[in-house]
Amino acid sequence: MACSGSFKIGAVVPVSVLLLLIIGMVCTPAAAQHPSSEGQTFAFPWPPDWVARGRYQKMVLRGVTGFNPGQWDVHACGTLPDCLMPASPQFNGLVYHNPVNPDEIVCDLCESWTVSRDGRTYTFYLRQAQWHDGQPVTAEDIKFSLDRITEPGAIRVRTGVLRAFYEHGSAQVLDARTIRVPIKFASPLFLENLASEYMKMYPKHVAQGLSPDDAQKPGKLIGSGPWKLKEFKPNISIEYVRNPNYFKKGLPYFDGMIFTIVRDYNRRLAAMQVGQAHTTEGPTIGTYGSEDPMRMQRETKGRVRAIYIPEAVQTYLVLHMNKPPFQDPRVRRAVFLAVDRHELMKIVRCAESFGCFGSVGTFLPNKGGKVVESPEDLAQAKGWRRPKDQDLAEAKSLMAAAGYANGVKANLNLGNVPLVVRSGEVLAEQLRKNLGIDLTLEPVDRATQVDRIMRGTHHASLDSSGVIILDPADYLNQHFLVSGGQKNPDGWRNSRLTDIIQAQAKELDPQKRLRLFKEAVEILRGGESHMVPLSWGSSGGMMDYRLQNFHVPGSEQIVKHFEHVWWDPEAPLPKN
Amino acid sequence: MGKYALRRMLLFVPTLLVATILVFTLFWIVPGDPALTILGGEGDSGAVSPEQLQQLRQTLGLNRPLHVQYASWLGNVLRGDLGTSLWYKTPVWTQLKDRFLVTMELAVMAILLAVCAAVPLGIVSAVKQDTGLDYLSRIFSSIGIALPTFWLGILIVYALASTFQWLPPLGYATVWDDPLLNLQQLILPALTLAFNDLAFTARLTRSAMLEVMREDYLRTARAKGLVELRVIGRHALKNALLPVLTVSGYQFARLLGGVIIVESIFAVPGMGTLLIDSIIHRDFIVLQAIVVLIAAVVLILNLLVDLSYGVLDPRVRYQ
Repeated sequence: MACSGSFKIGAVVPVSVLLLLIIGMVCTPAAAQHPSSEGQTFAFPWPPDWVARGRYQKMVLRGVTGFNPGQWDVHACGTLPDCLMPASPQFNGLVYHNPVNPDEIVCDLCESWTVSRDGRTYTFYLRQAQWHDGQPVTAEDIKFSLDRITEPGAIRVRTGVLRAFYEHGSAQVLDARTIRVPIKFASPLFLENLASEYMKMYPKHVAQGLSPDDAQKPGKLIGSGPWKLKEFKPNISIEYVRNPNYFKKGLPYFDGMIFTIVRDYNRRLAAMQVGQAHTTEGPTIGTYGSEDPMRMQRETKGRVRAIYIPEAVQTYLVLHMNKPPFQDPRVRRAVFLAVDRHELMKIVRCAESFGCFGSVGTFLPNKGGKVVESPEDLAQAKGWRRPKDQDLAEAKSLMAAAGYANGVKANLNLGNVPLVVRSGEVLAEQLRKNLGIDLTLEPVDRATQVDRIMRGTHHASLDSSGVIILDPADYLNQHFLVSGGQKNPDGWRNSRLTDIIQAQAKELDPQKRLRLFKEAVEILRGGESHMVPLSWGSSGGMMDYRLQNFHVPGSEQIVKHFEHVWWDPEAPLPKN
Repeated sequence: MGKYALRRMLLFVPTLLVATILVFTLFWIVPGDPALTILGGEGDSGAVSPEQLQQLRQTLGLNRPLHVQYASWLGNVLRGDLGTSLWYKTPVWTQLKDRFLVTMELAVMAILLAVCAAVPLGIVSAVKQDTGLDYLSRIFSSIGIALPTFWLGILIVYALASTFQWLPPLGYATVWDDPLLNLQQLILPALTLAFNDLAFTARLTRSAMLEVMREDYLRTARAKGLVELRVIGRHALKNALLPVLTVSGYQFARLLGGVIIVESIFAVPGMGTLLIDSIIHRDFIVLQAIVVLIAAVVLILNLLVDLSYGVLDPRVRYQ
């Protein structure tokens, strides 16, 4: 998170205060409206320069999506393509990831915020905005939304994480456009989580009368966002119209958007190829990988642009601990050591003519400018270092000690997507050759695969998971905090790791926090957990080259609203 | 004939019942959890906790014993309520009614294309037996029978996109809203679907025609001095068409199966895409409704085909 215009007030020397105030006024005009005597103020002048540079076109943006949404209440749902993607364009968050600099968190519905000295109270000052029905957005709506997100007992798949920071009902409405939000402890993760695309703000007068089921229906919930949902035709299309009263004046840049639902992958590619669509859904939903978009870019001579997040999705092995052989930590460590991640990456993630789209799997994502596991570090680390002789020797002795010197048969639960099957094949061959583990691959559709993981029907599962928030803590939370879910089906725990996960959430010093992450990684490199990281892959999509101002975010879960992109018919065709 | 039809219709009830029990049982044997799919969608279900899953299962009534769930569903169907989709949270009927019409339009278009092209092809092939034309027709038919429908569909999309940079427009317009757009959208999937049936029906017409053309009454017709066109059109074809028409009835029912993949390839929002969606989303309420509907259509078609024997051939008697 960056804020060039932030300033501190608290110095006792009046001259210094005056000087700081002057600097603040020059750098951030909005900040001067809410000088805080109790902490730090973050303000974001609007409109930014890209709004002025944007070009409105009297046209409808056309996209294709492979998903048929069934849920529209982002507070409750947990799914990116079936819920967040179609719902997001209608709403705003209190804060969000800056669409032109996605690593940065900036105001969305707020105009500025102030953080108290102890970091436990946030005061948000709202912009003058209105809901799609013309009612003003008030601090009451924000309080209602925060309370709805953290409603006790309600199903909150993605947004439930806010409960760790915000006590239901504790926000105070100071006036119609000011809200004070106390949090349970000072944390570097509060804003990261609040900026999640799932944390949308709803109008109280509409949402409070809706049952959970009704809220999931299209068009029932309205927002303040750049787009209004015009019509959802199941299995046909999702259509939006421009919000003419959007509080970010001049946005969005089209009259409307229509996403046609095309289930067939090849038909979607063909639609991009013949120019029936300007963009794929998202546009960074991982279903396209990177090879097909790159091929499309080449075949259309650059008219279709490949868009991808380089390290968006991690593939890993889940070793089920409810049955032999992986209930034995020695066997789990043997697998951890024996996997050749470099070879796996080369075979699976590198296309002959386009180069490689991925990297070797680390435990934690290197996101938000925080590098926990650097390439230099990995070059020395057990399980990653090359040559693998030492690791393989140790792995074999562990297998022998566990009574599996002659190998063992096991089955592998995996998805039926070609890329996943290819990963499974390479992995099976490595484990057969190195440890005598004879894996039988059982590829199935996604619903079956996840069900098998949750029930622990197989010895091992090959799974993948996307980055949600741009912080290394993301994967610690996903894989090691929740027990019994898809990411930790057998509830593997390490008491020190749990302490670290809790400590890093409260640690405000970036260096100390980084040390905690490194300690967590050291524990995990013991190789006794259920999770064996394999590789990082890209999450890709396609766009017409004339769509401008799209900046690739660090996660496929953010920047989903299309408020900032415009169409430039005169844009030069990029060189291929 | 009336009693026969009534008896057959009464048999519809146990047949449909068995079909639904079969699908219901199979659905629950296959791994997958509707609650998990709703919470996690088609992507990542990692954030779903076991408690949340349990809570949703309870809300949806999925924790009840299977026979109770089935009885509850059946009770609703008997009262005319096909249920509410687990995924869309809307009445199933609102989903089905439009999709059914789309699928039927596509299937009718395909069967008409198949029959209209296959019958002349079969006749020419029979009349010009063992000539170059006959061989061409037979090669064409063999290819048609051998090519899987889904593969042909993919090939058509690929060829059109790569070669002509053209594809049928995306989305869907009904025949009432925009007949031309509707035709543009459906003609390729209809042709894809029709190709296999066309080949089969052409071969059937050829063999039926060859058989009929060896009959004595045709020799008599020719001996009377009738022109060949009249002999073929009036005397031979009328009798040769009997098996063709009856088989076309069954072909139509078979088409409803092929339609599932073709709709998906060409993005036609019919029952096929809804069926695939309901399987992906483990939405058994929708799945059951589609099965009942398709089974009912097939049963009715079978009955109509059986009844048509008597109309087309007065020698057939029903008992």
